[in-house]
Amino acid sequence: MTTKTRASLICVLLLVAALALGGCGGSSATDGKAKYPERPVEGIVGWGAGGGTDVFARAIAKPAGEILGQTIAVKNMPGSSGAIAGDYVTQQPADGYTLWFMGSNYAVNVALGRTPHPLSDYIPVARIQHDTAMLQVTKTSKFKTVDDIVAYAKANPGKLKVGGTGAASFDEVVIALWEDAAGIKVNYVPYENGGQMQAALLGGHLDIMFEELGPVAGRVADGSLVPVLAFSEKKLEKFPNLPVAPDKGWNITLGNWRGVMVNKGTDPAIVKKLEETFTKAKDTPSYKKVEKDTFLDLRPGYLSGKDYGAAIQKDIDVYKKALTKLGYIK
Amino acid sequence: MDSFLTALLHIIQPSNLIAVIGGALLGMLSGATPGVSGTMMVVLLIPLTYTLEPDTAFLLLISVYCSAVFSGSISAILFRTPGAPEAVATTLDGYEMTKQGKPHEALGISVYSSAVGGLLGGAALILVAPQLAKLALAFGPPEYFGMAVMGLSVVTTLGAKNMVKALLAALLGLFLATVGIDPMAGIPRFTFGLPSLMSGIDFIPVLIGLFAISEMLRQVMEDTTIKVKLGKIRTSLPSFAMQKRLMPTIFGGSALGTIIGILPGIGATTAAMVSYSEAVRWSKTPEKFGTGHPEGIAAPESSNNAAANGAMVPLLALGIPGSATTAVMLGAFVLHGLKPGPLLFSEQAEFINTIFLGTMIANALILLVAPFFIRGFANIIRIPYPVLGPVILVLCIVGSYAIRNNMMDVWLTLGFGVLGYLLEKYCFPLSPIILGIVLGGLAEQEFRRSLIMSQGDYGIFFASPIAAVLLGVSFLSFIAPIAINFYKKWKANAASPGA
Repeated sequence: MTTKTRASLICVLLLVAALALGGCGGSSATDGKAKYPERPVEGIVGWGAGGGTDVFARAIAKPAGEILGQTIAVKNMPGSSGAIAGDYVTQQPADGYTLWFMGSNYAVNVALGRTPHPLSDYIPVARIQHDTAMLQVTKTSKFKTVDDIVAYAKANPGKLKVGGTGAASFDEVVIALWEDAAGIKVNYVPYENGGQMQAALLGGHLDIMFEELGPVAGRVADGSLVPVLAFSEKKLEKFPNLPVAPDKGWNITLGNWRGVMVNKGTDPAIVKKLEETFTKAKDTPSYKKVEKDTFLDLRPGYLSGKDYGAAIQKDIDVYKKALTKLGYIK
Repeated sequence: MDSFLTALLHIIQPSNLIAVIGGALLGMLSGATPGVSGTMMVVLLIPLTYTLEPDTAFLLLISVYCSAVFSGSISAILFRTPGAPEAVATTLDGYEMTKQGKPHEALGISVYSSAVGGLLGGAALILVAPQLAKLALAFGPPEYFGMAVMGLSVVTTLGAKNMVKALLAALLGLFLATVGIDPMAGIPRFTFGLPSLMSGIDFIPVLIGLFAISEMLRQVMEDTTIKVKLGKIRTSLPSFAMQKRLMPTIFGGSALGTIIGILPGIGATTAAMVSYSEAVRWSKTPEKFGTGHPEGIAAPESSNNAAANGAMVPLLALGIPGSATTAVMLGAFVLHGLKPGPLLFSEQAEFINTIFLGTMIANALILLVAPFFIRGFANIIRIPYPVLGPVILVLCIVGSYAIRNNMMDVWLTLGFGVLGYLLEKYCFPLSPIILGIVLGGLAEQEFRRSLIMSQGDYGIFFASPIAAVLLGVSFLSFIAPIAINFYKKWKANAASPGA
C-alpha cells in the first residue's frame, strides 16, 4: 500500500468511527409510565465526584432509590457550573428516568445567560437542603466582630480582602449585596476551590472569607476559625451568640440550596411520585446523618416542588439585579 | 515511639492487612486503566467503607490512592497512554525507552522511583507534618505564580535544538489553558458559544490525543512491523549502579514533590511536571531528556508519589484538601465522624500514626506487588499491533469520555491526535505543550489574583523574598539557553568572516 492510499483509508476509518460515535448518546424512549419506575433511574450531577452536590446526590439517592424500588445511579457530568448537565437533562426523554441533582448555581447560570434553558424547561421536584453561608476570620485576626470589619472597610474603602469561590458566582453576589447593605466597598478575591481559599485565610493572605460551615467544621470546633456573621433569617441553634445578617439590619439570607428537577413534560403522576419519594427520603436516618455531619441542618431546607420553583425564580431575579450592578450583565 | 508500635500492631491485624494489600491491587488496576482514575476508585469505595472501622477504611483508601498514582505510569511507558493524569511527564521518556526495546528497564525505574519517592514523602509526613503545614500557609498568590513560572521557564532548555518550535509549542499549550470561563472574571473565552467548552479543555483528552492517538497514526502510517523483538516482559529493578546514578534525581524529585503536594490546590500532576522541568534544568545533559533518559522517568515518578503523601499534610493537619482525591477523603473523614485539623493529631494520635505507617507500607508494597501486576499487564504489548492498536484506540475513546461523561472530550481527543501526528512529523516537541497546558492556568490565575490583592501594584511580586527568588531564577534560566545560542552563532560568524 502506498502512503497515500493508507492515509485515505485511515481518513475513511476515522469518519466511520465518528459517524458510529455520533449515533451513541441517544437513548430509546419507552412509554412504560404505567408502572414507573420499572428500570433503574439515572441521577445527573453537574459537578465532579466528591464535591458538595455530589455528596448530596449520593446521600439522598440511596434512600430515595430504596423507596422507589429501583436504584438511582449517580452520574457525574461536570463542567460550566452545572450547565452541561442541565443541558443533558433536557435532551433526555421526559419519562422520569433522568433526575437532575442541582443547586443555586443553576439560578446564577440563568441570570448570567450561561445556560440556554430557562426554569420553564424543567419541573422542580423538591428542594432538600438550604446551606448557611458565613463570614469567617482566623483566631488571630485583628477583627473580632463583624462591626470591626465594617468599621475597617468604611475607613479603608477597597482594602478589605474578602475570599470567595468563583467569579460572577453565588459568593460574589452575596458579597456584593452585603457591600450595598453595609455601605462599604471591599476587595473581592475569587478562588477556584475552597481549600485554597481556606489556606490563604489561615496564612494571612486574606482578611476574611465567605464560606459555609461544613467544609471547615473541624477548624471552627478547635477555635482556629471564627464565624462572625451568618446569612440566615434566624439565630442558629448551634451558635446562639453568632449575629445573623438581619440583626445588623441587612436583609440578606441567601444560602446555597440543593434539590431535584426533571425535564419539562414529565407526566404529573411521575413528578408527584418523585416528590413523595424525596420527601420521605430526606427524613431517613441515613440521609439525616449525612446532613448532620456536614452541618447542613442549621436551617430547614425542604420545599415542595411548587414552592421550590417560586424560590428559584426569586433567586434568579436577585442574582440578575446584583450581577447587573457588578457589570457582568450588560 | 510507643504509639508507633501500637500503630504497627494495628496494621498487621488481618483485616487491616487485607485492606492495604487489596487497596494496592485495586489502585494499580484503576491507575493503569485509562479513564479510571484513583479519585474515581476512592469515590466508589467510600460507601463500602461505612461498615468498616475508621482505620481499616482509611488504610484501604490511602493504599488505593498511593498505588494509583504510581500505576498510571505503566500504560504511559508501554503504550504512550497515561493511565492517570499524574503520569503525564512519564510518557515523555518512558515510551521512548519502550521503543528502544527496554520497557522492563523503564518500568523498573518507575517502580523503584515511585516507591522511594513515596517512602521519602511518607517519612517527611511522619517527622515534620505540622511544620510543613505552616510552610504551605506561607505560600500566597505571588509565590504560587513564581513556582508556576519556574516550571514554565525550562521550555528554552527543553527546546535547545529548535528554540522557535519549542516556544511555539509552549504558546499553544498556554493558549489551550485559557479556553473556558475565565476563573477570575467569569467571562467565557474562546468557547465559540459551545457550552461544552465553557469549563475549559481538560488536559487528559489533549494528552491522550497528542501522545496515544498520534502514536497510533504514526505506527499505521509508517511502520506496521514491530522493529524490536520483545522478550518476556518483567520488571527488572534498576541495577545498583543505576540506583546510585538516579539517587540525586529521586531525592530532588521527592523533595519538590513533597513541597508541591503540600500546597493546597496543586496536585501530584503539577508536581510531576515541575520536577521533570527541574531535572532537565539541573542536568548536565539536558538534551538527552525526551530520548529515553532514565532520569526523565525517575524525576516525575518519585515526585508524584511524594506529592500524594504531601497532600495528606494539609488534609490531616489543617483539614484542607490539597487535591481532588484528598477532597474526597475529607468527605470520608467527616462521614466517619472524624474532624481533621490540629485536634486530630493530639486526640487521635494512634489513628494518625496508623495512617502515616499505612502510607509507608502502601508505597513499599509498590515494590513487592507491582512486578507481579506488571507481568500480567505487560504481556499485552506482545499482541500484534494490528490487533492491539484498535483496542488501545477504543480504550482511549472510552477513557476520554469517562472523565466527564462528555462527547466533546472524545472529539478533542481525536482532533489532538491528528494535530499531534502532524506536529511530530514536522519535529515540533510535544513536551512544551504539556508544560503550557498544565502550568498555564495556574500561572495566569495566580498572577491575576496577586494583582487583585495588591490592587494593580506589580511590587507584590518583589515584596515576597520567595516569589522574587523564584522569578529571578526563572528569568535567568529562560534567557540563558537563548543567549548561549546567540553567542555560538556569533562566534561561528566571527570565525568565518567570508561567509
